[in-house]
Amino acid sequence: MRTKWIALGAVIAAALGAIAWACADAGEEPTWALAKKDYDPGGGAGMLLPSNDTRINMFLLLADRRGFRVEEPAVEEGSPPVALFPWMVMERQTRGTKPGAFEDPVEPSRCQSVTAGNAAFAAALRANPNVPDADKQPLIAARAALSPWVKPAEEYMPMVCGDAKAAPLAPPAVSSPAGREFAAYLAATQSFYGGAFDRAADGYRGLASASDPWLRETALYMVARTLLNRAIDRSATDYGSIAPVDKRDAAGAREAGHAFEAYLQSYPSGRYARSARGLVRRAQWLAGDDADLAAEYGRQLSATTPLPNAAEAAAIVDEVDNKLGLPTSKPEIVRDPVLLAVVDLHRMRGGDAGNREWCCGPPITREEIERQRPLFGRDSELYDYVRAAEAYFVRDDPREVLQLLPDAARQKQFSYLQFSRQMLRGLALQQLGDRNARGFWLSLFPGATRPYQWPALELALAIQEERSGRLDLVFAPDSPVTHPVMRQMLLENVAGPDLLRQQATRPGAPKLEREVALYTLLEKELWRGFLPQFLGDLRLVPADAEPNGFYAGTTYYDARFNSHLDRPPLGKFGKDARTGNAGCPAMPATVAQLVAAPRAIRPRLCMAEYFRLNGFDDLSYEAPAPPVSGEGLATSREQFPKGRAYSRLEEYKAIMADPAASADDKALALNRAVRCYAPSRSNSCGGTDVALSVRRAWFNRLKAEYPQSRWAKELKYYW
Amino acid sequence: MTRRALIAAALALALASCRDPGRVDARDYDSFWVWAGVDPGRRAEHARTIYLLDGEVRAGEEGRFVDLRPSVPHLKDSEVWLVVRTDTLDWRDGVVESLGPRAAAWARAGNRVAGVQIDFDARTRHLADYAAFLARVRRALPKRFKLSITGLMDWSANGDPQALRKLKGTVDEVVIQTYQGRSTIWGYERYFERMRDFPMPFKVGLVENGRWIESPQLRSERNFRGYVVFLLPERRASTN
Repeated sequence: MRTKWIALGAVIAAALGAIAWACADAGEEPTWALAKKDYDPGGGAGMLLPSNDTRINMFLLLADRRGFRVEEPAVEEGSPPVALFPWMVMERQTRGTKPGAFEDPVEPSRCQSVTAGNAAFAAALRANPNVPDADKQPLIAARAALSPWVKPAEEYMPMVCGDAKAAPLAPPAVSSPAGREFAAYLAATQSFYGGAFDRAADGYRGLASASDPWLRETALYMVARTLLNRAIDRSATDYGSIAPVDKRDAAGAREAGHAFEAYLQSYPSGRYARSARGLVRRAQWLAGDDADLAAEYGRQLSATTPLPNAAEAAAIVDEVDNKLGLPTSKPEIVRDPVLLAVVDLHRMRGGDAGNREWCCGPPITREEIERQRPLFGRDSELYDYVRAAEAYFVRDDPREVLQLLPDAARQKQFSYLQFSRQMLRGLALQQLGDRNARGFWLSLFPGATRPYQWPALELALAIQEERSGRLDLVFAPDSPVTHPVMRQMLLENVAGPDLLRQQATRPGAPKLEREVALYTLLEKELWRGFLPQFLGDLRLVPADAEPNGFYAGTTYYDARFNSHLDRPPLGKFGKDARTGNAGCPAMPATVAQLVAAPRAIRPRLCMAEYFRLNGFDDLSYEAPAPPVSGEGLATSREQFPKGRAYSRLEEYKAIMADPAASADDKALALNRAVRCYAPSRSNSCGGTDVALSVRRAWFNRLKAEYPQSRWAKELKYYW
Repeated sequence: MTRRALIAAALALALASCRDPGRVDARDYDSFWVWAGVDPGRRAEHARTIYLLDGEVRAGEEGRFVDLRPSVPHLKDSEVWLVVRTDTLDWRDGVVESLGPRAAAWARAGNRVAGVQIDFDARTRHLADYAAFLARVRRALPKRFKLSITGLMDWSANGDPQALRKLKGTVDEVVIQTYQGRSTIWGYERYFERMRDFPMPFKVGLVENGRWIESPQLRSERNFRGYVVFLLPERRASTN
């Protein structure tokens, strides 16, 4: 059954293929392979690859350099570790958020600081001994009234956290000189949140030599923030978003950037230093100063100070990706080894001339990489990997890979870069058909200790075994390929009856795998007409198996949304499966009758009823596009014999024309044949389609020839 | 031509060459969701209605409102809905009450604000809680603003259109989302069969470039009010 929809999916995919490709990004189902020339948005892996989302490559390199712990890749409790995944999943793991949580970059407004600002203002004021208590009270009240959290609702009106047209704040009755400085700060702050930026900037500048140190420092920082917000405001579109770079206030943004640098000069480790550094980058981004931004990100990516955690690393990666806009169409601005490696890998992707602008920037050449040698400096481990990747992915020269990346397979552990080097060596050996390729993969396992490494290696080995026709090795008791999704894909798509039967009954195999193997075996036997074998294998179905439920196996597996594997409803192949109202016996009895007499009419109708009632119809359109595409795991020739594909529609056609069929048989066949097209007018019964006129003729014949039949009375329409 | 113009022209050409009746092409529609970081550009030039993401309320941020729009919009030619995305019903005090003033601030800036849309993006939802929550939102929202919600088309009981019917009287419209991520969810025909005689105005949300073939039955539904297309970020569509 599933093969049927996969076949159908393949036809659709083929029909839409050229279109989908030209329109970019048709879906997120990964190609289950590591050696891929094109971008695979849902199919990133734990090694550096051109097909990875650039953010994954950046994150892996950052993990090597800045020593944070990468989270384990099991998305949900009890689900298998993801082997192939979109960046979103990897990033989500770092934040510990659950699937379905939001994943967009946040662009907070200036009003985000309004709460903290209120508290800081009050604290600074209280700490100042020169402001008499009589002055403090009205100042604190005025600040609170300015961004009044008195009514909770107003905290959440950032866009209304002030009003540009509002009259300047009536100064609170303050007599002390120090108190008046705070009052001036307050007026500037009202203007800032209200969006009257010129007035705000003047006010803050006036506090450059205020007596209170908090005021002095804060006002200097606020001058810069005011300038930045003015530039953002002047760069906004009608939607309230930031305009394309040529329509922004670049001069204003640069002015703001300089103001932040001035603050950092005076207060290198000031209370706003961290924020100011971030806002310098924001100003560079707003101004479109990519080269400055690239240099700044390069410093962060190549720094050697440890990052506290993976979430911090993911934030850097996301920011670089959002703000620098990889693939940069200006690769020459990239000078840092990490960023350079990421961009180079990106440019190794396939993609024709018309597409490159979006997919991967200008193609990379060996000569260009040679010229980059000084930029990589002493980082030859990374540099040689980039060279080898170019040889492998761009020039199809696996021999050169072997020269560039010496064998260093047997390790206690690998960094992500070391792992990538050995994996690429393995891929090269595999492509060359080297007889040591398998042994090489096996020798990598002990060192594949970091998250995402083991599943990537399992995938490489599984593909190796599949391509050399040795599925039995994947399922051998000591096989390192234990990944349930990979094993299940092979069982569903490639395995023959013997292997399926073996796994269905193997004592040491996981329960889910035994059930999947049995389900696949029975389903294919049934759909392809191997009824005697089917009858024999039915005895393996447990008596209490669940007969209901929609099941689509690994086609429903999705690292992002559905990382659990479902149990198959094995009871569909049992005595409790639905048999309908045509007086049919339990399914095993029907099958037994057909084994004894394959052309017997009533059992054939009962079999059709069984198909109809147990959810074996309609699946062609319920099934999503299969994750298995033309290359990668589980795409080699299926070892299960094709047999003869079952079609209800063809059975009905034959029976309605069969002189041996009874009146009731024919009436039932006509009724059901018409219903094959209900209600959408598309055939859900397989076989060769018929025109509407034929369905009308069936309907009329049913009404004319068998008017008293319940099957005629029950049918009111045709479709 | 500038580089950007060249890119735009090439993109237009690429899109023109891949026009396909089964795929959602923004040019064929006039209502759009515009999310943070999405520049609708020419795709929404002819828009009559914009569902504009203003911010979100997240469980991870303890139910605070997180603002996602750096500046107030100024949309002259289209009606606009202020959209709030959320994954929790546990909003902090005051957040529900802030929706009206937020919408009013947009209106003051010259926008034709139709109302507020809640895009509840949780995997599991308890409809009774959700209904109570929406009633609270309705009470807090000035009468001149309508209340819209999205409904994710899924197969769980809570995604059942029958359950959504119970929200009649509380919400003014439901927009049924037919996609997840960038892809249309298969089997939507069957879902819309179950939406026969839906008792309040509803629209159908599509994802740009997703698959969509309209069933004739949908078109004949009395309360069907057309489509809303979720615009994808242009660069993101292919570059990562």
